[in-house]
Amino acid sequence: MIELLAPAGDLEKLKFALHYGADAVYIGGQNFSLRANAKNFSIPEIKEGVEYAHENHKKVYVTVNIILHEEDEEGLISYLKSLSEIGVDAVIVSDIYIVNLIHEMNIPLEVHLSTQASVLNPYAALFYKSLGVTRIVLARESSREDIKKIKEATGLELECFIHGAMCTSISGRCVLSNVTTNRDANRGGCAQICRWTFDTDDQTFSMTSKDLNMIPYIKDMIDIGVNSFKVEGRMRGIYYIATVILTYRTLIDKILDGTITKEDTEYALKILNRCANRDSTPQFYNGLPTEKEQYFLGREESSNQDFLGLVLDYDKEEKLAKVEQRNYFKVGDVVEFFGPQTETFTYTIHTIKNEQKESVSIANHPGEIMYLPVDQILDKFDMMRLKIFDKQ
Amino acid sequence: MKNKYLIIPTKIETKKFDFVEYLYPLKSYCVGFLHEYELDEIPEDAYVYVNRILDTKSIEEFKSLLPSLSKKKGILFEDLGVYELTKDLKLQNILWASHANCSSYTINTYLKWMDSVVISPDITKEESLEILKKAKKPILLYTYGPLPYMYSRRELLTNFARHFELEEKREYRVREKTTTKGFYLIENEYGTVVFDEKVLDGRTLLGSANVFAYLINLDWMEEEVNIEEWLKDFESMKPLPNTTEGFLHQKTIYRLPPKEVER
Repeated sequence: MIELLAPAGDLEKLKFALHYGADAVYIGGQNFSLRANAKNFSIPEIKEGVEYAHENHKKVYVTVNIILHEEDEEGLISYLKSLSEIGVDAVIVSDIYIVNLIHEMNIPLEVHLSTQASVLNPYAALFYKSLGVTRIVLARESSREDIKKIKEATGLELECFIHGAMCTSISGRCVLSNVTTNRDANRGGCAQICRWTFDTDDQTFSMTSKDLNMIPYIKDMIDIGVNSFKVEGRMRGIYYIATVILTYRTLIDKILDGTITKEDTEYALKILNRCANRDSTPQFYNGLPTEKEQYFLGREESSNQDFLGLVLDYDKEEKLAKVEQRNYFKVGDVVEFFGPQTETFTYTIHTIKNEQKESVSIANHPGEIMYLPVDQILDKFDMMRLKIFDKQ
Repeated sequence: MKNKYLIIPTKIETKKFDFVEYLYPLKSYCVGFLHEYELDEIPEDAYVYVNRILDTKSIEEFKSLLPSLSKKKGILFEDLGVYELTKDLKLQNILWASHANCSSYTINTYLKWMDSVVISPDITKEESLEILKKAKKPILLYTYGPLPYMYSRRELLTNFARHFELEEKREYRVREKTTTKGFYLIENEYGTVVFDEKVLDGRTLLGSANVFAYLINLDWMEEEVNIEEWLKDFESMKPLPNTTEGFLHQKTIYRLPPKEVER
């Protein structure tokens, strides 16, 4: 089984992630989950998300991955039973109490061990296997050799992060946020202190990691037994999720049907590098990251305004796309449309009409409805982005 | 002395006391220490400390130490893979998971397998006392020593020095710009640990019930310590320099007021 696993911070993102090619999504409930300050899902929303996913033959995993304090246990058992009744496909758990509770109470829930548990060797994985864990989300510090050996020794399903932000710390081994901002990192309050800067006697100190990007190694990861390819980012927007998921979907499908080319890989790298606001590298896969895999002197992050519009509808008779504006565009801009069923194509904007179908020269109000004449058929939820480069 | 202690000393300690046992960081299997010891240097009546999250190669190498390790009194560790390898040996297994043991629920679960655990120092005094009350076996309290906040697999100090072409150092002090909070970093080839610039003083917890031992880390001290004299001062609550009570009186939160939540 090869699975592309996407983050989803709310129902809209869940639907976009699945629409753009994810086989499964992971979401957080409003309790017991990290990313406590994301919108997250209420029980009825989880139910709606699971029903939507299952109708589309896809899966939903729910993170229950906080480290419990004394006060946090209240309501846990009924919450887990609710998740089971809803039919979530698995819970992602870190705290040993929750792992063992599900096992001992025979709550019908599949348990995936969170990356917060920092599994990096087969023996730790076997400990959790004895408690009924069926999948391990490996520590992001795992090397190729670690992954291969853990698979061989345990036979467990392995899930690896392939894209997105990295903790500087081994996940779960950090309370810098607690001491600096009083926000508990291991209960979802992380303030990302590892992205802040520090004074020293010599020079401004920084420990910020660049992001993770495993595009060049996906085939190798499939070959050594990785089952689930996980994208980080429950706080990310729909354009990021759509772009990243579609890129990996295309790549994985081409690897599996044997049609992948060097050009495909290079194009995927270009697209993802453009979409992200930080540089990305394979990090620990082939060795210890050096200074080249870190940022110094602050964040060095750039804001991305490539996402120009979301296609809400397409009139085949009039060949007119109804587009919701997301960033400034104007007549004369060269853009691209893309979507799960729409091969990326280039389009030059000659005409823009507003909601009253009057011609205008610019679209500069976020959320404004615009109409664009487009000959090529588009689907609802296709996206329009700034064109930066061609596939070579 | 009124209490029992498990102490990480500044050197191999030969003085024996009824109320003290010793814990030694094992060379190549620890991060965040200035002094580490080969297994054959560590006395048989002492505990061995392994605090690295071990990659596959390292834990395979660790397996070769098991025959010698079985002659020691016990082992404290962070990685559950270590437990999986040592569980059948005749030595005490004690889990010191830096930030994972924050509730009696979690701790009592671990106590199904472990002889004892160390309570994470990230919780309040009240939470610690509640855990002690509910714990099914006597447990350890980290009471004095560097307060760890972060463990990275990266060589953060080496990377920093190489980027700016500075002299490479394995210890460093930094100060966060906005809050002016200070930190002390120690690095070796297996990673970097970020500590508070001050040393934890958790003596407010002395005298509690259900305590296996009070854990004390003197490794960072530059001068040799006379353990008996130092403990007398410690128990008599003599003021100690450059200390903090950490989270003992600082309850953390994890949800922000709605207006502060970034969407």
